[in-house]
Amino acid sequence: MRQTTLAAWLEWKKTCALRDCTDETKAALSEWGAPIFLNQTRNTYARSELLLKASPVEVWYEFEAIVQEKTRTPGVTGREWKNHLLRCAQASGPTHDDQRITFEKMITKRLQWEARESAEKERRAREGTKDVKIVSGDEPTSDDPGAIPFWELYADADHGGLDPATAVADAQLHDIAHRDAEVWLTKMELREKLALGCKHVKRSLADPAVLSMAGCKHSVFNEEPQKAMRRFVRFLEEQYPDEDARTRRELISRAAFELCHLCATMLPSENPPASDL
Amino acid sequence: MPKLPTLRWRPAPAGRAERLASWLKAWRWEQHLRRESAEYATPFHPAPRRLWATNPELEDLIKDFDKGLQVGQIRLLDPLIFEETRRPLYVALISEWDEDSFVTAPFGPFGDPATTTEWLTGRQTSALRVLCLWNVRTLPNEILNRSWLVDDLTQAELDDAWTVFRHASTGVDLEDRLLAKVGCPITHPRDPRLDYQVEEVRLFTTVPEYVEHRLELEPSGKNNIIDFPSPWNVPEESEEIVLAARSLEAAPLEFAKYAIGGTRLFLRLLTQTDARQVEICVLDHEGNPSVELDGAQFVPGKREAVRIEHGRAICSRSGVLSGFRFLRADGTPVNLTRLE
Repeated sequence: MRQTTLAAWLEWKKTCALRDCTDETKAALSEWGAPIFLNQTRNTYARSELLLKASPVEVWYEFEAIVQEKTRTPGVTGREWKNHLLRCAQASGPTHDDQRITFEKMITKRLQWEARESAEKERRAREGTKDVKIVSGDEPTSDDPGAIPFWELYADADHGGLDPATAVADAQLHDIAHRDAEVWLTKMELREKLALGCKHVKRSLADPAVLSMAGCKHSVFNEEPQKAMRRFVRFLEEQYPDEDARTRRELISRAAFELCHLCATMLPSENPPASDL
Repeated sequence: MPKLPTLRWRPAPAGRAERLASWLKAWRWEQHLRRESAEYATPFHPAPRRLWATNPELEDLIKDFDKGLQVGQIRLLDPLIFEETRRPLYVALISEWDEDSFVTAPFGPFGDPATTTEWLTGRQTSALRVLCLWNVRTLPNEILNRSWLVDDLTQAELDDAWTVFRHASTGVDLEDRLLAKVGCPITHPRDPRLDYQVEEVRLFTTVPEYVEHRLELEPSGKNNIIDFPSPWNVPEESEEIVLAARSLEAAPLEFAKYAIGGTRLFLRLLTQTDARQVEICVLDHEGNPSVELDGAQFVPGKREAVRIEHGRAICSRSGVLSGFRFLRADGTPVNLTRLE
């Protein structure tokens, strides 16, 4: 791959756009950068077909158009990001070659990123924002082996929040959740209460004061939050077997919060005893 | 007979699932680039200032930071504040906090809003498409003055940003118009957006350190800036700090030396074998310990001063990291000049 020169980068900054640079600078930057951009846009950017036939300088113009900050404020150029670039180069190291390399590294990252962005912008322009294709609800949401599918991520988010017209019902549900939590609290073992309380306030389950109060080993105590919550959810499901599933989920979520909150009030103090002060 | 009251939900705004799908696509692309190119994922770590190459031509081309902070401005922050990323970080000043700071919201890295607290601004510039109102923080003017003015939010944009911020901070409902311009709530504990949020928060955790390390020192003289070798900047109690401490055990590392104004003495800051401490030595021109300034005070950051006795003092590393002053026994400040 062709190497750039520091002089070329500085001229590019000075003139604002490659169009106004000397032929030498045009060649130095575009012949270095165009292959990176084309490599990243391949298969994602419809215009990459056209760009493949374009000169490296034209590819660079495309890149410049993408990264420019479009502004409304008079006197602001829309090229402040180049100051960012120069500032990084300035702080890069003891030699001018460090500065040149920083220009290349920073722009490489930008080219890689903008390649995807430009493909996305192109898609938006072509299809409009509402027509993004969700290939399948079963599509994993990340490349990790255990990634959850899209539908699972979206299942509980497929609404725009509670309708304000049901504010009274909302308050009633809150009261029911609180009442159920209080009822269940009386049926819980101390160990379960402490475990849920710790989780609620993000206190360590290995806290000696809590473990001493719970009267069990850390390994046992560690299992308690999940076990306790599963028991409570089962209790609620049995209480309301025929309710609308979404309303029941909402109740469970609120009651669980209430229960954990009540449990947290039972935790021993975190402050050291006065004798330690 | 149902025992629970009937709740009704507003319908999901049009395009919400698609926006989420689009965001996830961008996130996967980001992960792909990080995996494929080690260079892409490498953060920008600026060299210590004393190691910067002199290049007047380059320096002259860097525009001075823009002063005149005002609510509604969009600013690009000095990259040297953010050592963990090479991404240009843009922020919007959405409100004054007090006379020395503003409430600011960063713009996100992706073209679609991740959550209901990220707002699609409607701008075409990729860096300014999404404002993250969940990641709002107050930034001091010292930091914000190290930025370039990029644009202004319109009053309507500012109002919308503020409304989404209120939604993020108090849970107040968004009207349908704004609901259509934000992302999708996170409801699953294994949602990749949680990882994204952790990363975004982390970007700003270096800011307070930066303020303490550099900005407080620079106005009083650039020579007082301490450049710290990287092992010192890792979080305490991490494995790295243990390794760093071990390597220092083998060879104590000198990391700063200053000429003491009005004397022929020097102040040297050394690491101790315990990397959490710093030894301060007053030396004569031959490099031998000097008691000439005994009783002087070394004031690390906002911590308590330590007194120089028998030509030396010990103080905590974290105190020194946040800057220092050196005072004579009578309290008059001493001018220090950093030496290479």
